[in-house]
Amino acid sequence: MERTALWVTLALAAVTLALRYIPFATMARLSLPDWAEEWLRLVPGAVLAAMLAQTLLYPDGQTLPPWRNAYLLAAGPAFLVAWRSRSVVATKLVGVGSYALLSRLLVL
Amino acid sequence: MDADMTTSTQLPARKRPLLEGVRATLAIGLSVLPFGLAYGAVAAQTMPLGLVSLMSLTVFAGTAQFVAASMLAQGAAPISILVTTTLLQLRLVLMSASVARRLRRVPRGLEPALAHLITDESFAVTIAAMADRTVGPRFFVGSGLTVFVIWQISSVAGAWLGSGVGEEWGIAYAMPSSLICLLFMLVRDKSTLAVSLAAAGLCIALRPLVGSTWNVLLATVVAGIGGVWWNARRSG
Repeated sequence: MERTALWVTLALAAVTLALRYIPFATMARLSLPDWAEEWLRLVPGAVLAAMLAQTLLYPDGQTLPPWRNAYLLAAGPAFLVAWRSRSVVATKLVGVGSYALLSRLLVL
Repeated sequence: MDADMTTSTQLPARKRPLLEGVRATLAIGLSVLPFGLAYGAVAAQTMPLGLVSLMSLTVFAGTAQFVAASMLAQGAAPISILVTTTLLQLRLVLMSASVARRLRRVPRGLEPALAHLITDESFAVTIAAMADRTVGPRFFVGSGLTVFVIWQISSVAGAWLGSGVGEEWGIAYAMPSSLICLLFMLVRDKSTLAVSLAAAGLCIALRPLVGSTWNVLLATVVAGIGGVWWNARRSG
């Protein structure tokens, strides 16, 4: 068991380093056409938005009806605060607080 | 944005980009804490503390580590663990390419070390800071190291404390909250907004078709291409 875990860890470390380093080393030197630069500019927001959508709609991989999904409902107040304040701390406080409250209410 | 972040653009911190990177990342970096605790707790079920920590040091990728530890605990075959976690990590390719394009003048020997510091958090903070001002490799290192240190401490603490820490306080929601705020920092104009919304919609639409390991990557790539095409049509 421990041996397996060690090999999995080392293999995973190697794969992860390759995924991080190879594009890093090649892209820093390559000169790209304008459309590729533009694409890379658009990608960051898209990655985060896609991850967020998945996290909110399928918390822990489950499918819940929207009105029973505390993850999705708590995003409402969090979005509002993020939009008005752009403060990570405020967004987190409101998000975590709303989630704690909503998950308790939904159990009832 | 945080008070810290706005003041640090004017005062001496500007001359100390490493510290500036640390400061800009602290608030967001703390959201990896509950995740590190969760990973540590799961991993400690099957792995000794040294190995739990070794994985955090060498892999340094929350989702992949969490999934690998869970699959190990379930006795999954090593090869299926590797394939699944690799798929989960493919978005690192996009982030790495995107960061490298904008961080010029990184000494070649340091590239692997800098690449190792790429995470969702350091990536998003650095890219968001770049929208306002010139940001160099030192800022990125400060940002990456902040996440790295928090991750190491929290995963060891999780292994030590066991599961269930802070669950009743809704701590699990720190991560989505950070994502929400980061998104607001990254979305600057109509095209980034449109592409982000499209990626979110596509990701959900593709999920039943391609599963939850491929949909994020596919949605991002397609929405990005759509954005490039849309912008080209509008200007040309």
